[in-house]
Amino acid sequence: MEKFENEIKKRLSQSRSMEGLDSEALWNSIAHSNSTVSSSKRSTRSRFTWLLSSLLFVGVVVAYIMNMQHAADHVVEGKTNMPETSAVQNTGEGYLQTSEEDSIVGQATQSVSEVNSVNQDLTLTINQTRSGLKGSKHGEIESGRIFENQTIEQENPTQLQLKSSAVSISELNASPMNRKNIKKEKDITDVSSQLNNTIAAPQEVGTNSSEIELLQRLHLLPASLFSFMSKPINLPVTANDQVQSITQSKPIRWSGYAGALFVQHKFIGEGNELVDSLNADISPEISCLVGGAIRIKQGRHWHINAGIEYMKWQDRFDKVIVSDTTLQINQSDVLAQNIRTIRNYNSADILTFPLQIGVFKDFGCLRLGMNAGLSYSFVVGQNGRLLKDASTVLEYSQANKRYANFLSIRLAPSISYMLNETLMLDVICPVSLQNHTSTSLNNLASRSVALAPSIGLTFNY
Amino acid sequence: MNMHVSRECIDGCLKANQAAQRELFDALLPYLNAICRRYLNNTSLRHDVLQDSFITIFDKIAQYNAERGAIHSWCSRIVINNCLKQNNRGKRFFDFNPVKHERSITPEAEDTMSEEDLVRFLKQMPEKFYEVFMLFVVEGFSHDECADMLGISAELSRKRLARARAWINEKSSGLSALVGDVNYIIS
Repeated sequence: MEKFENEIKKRLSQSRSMEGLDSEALWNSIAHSNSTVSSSKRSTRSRFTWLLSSLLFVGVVVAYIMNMQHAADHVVEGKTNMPETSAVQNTGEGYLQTSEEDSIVGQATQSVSEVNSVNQDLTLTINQTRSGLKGSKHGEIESGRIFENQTIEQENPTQLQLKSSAVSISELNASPMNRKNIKKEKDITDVSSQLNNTIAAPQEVGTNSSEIELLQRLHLLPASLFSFMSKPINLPVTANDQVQSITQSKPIRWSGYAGALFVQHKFIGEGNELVDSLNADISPEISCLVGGAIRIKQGRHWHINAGIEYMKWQDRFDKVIVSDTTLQINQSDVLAQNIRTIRNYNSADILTFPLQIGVFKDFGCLRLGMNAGLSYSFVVGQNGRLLKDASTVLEYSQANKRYANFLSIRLAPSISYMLNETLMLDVICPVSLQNHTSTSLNNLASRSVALAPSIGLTFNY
Repeated sequence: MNMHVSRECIDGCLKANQAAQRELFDALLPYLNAICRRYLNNTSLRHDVLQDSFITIFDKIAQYNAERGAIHSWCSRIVINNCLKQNNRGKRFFDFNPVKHERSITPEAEDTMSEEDLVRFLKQMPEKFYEVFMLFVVEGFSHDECADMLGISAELSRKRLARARAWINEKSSGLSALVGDVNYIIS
C-alpha cells in the first residue's frame, strides 16, 4: 500500500497539464479583474478617508453652532431674568423696595439651594477621588473638617454646606491629580464664597451685583463643551422655572451606532419577463451600516435629530444561463445543453443624511422610542452585475449606474438602557423604504426595503 | 516544465508589476491547472477557479513567507481551497451529477496507468475519502491541515483516510501492476 501511495504521490504531485485551457484568455480575464480589484481598493480607501473627514467636519460645525446657540441663550436669560437687579445696579441705589427685595432674596435662596446640591455632588466626587489618593492623611483632614462642620452646623446649615464645598474645592486645587480642573473649581469656589456673603448679608442682595455674576457662572458650570453632563436620571422637580433653566445645561446630545444591514429589492413592471428574472436572481446579502446622529431639538418626550450614515449594500446575483449546443460523441453529433452559472456579489457604498423626529417614553431605566423621518442618500460607489435582458449580463459601475441617488422614508424603533447618567445603550432597527428610478443600465424602476438591526450608544441623553 | 520562480518575480508581484505577475502566472499555471483537474468535480469550472485563485494569489502575495515553503506550495493551497469551496457550492446549488464515463481497466490494458486514468480511478471512491486521500497522500498535508481545509476534525480526517485506503485495497486487487511491473486488473 505504501508503495502504491508513493507511486501516486510521485506521479500526481509532479503532474503538469495545460489541457483544455486557454492561457491567454485566462490571463486577460485575470489582468482585467486584478486591475478592477486594485482600483476599487484604492477608491474604497479614498472613500473611507473622505467619509471620516466629512464626519469630522460636520461634527465640528454642529458643535460650533450649538456652542454659539448656548452662549446666546445664556446672555438672553441673564438679562431677562433679573430686570430689577440690573436696574438697581445701573442706578447705583443702595437698597430696593421691600417687596422686590423679598422676591430677589427668595430667588437667590433657591439658587443657593441648587448650588448646594451641585456643590454637594461635586464635594462627594472630590472626596471620593481624594480618599483614594491621600489615604490616612486625608482621613485626618476629613475628620477634622467633619468636626468643624458639626460645630458650625448648629449655627447655619446652609452656610455649612457652602463652606464645606469651598474647603473641599480649595483642597482639590492643591491636588496634583486635579490640576486640569483648576479653572472650573476656581469658579465654583468664587461662587461659593459669594453665596456665603450673600447669605450672610441678605439685605445687601439688591446692591450686590454678585447675583448676576453668580447666575452667569452657574450657567457656565459645565463649561467644557464636550464634557458629559452629570444629570440625574430623574431630575428634581423645582417650582421655579428660572432655577430649572439654570440647572438644565445643554450639552451636545449625540449617538453612534453600527449594525448589520439587509436590503431586499423588488423590480416593478407587471408581466415583464426581465422583471421576473431580476426578482428571482437577486438575493439579499448581509452587509453593514455605521452612523451617528446629533439631537438638534429636544422636548420632554420628543426630539429632532439629524445624522449621517455610511451603508454598504450587498446583494447576490445568481443566474443560470442554459443554451443548446452539440457534442461529438463517437463521431456523431449529439444535441446537448450548455449550462453556465454566473454568480456575483453586487455592492454599493451609500452615504445617507437622515432627519428624524422621535418620541420616547421612559420606564425606569428603559427607554422606548420611535423615530420617523426622511433621508437622502448619495450613492458614492457601486459595482456588480445585472441582467440587461433575458440572456445578457452586464457589469455596472459608478460610471454605468444601477442606482441613482435616492430619497427614503425611515422608521426606527428603538429600545435603550440607561447605563448611567450620561450614557445610554441603544438597540435600534432603522427600516427605510426607497424608490429607485430607472437608469441607463436598467430601464426598470425598483423599490427596496433596508433593515438594519444596530446597536449603539447615546451620550447625554 | 520548469516551475522555478525567482525572488525578483515575487518582489515584482508585491509591487503589482504586471510583467512579474505574468511570469508567475506562466510558471505556475500548468501545475495549478493539474491540481484543479484533480480536485474539481465539475472541471468546466476550472477557468473560473483558476481566475479567482490567481487574483487571490496576486492580492495576498504579501502574506507569502519564503521561509515556510516554496511559492508553488503556497499557491497550491489557495487553489485547493478554492476547488473545495467550489465543490461545496456545487453541492448546495445544484444536484448536478454528470454522467461518469467510467472506463473499465482491463488486464489487457497498458502496463502503466496514465495520470488521467489514475485520477479517474481514484475519483470513483466517495468524494469525502478522495479529498482526504489526495490532501494527505499527494499534497503531503498533515491531518490537522486537512481538517482545517475541509472543516472537519483531525480524527475524522484520519478515519476517512483509513477508509480511502480500505476502498483502494478492496478495489484494486492487482496493485503491483499499477506500479508497472506486471499487468493489473481494476474493474
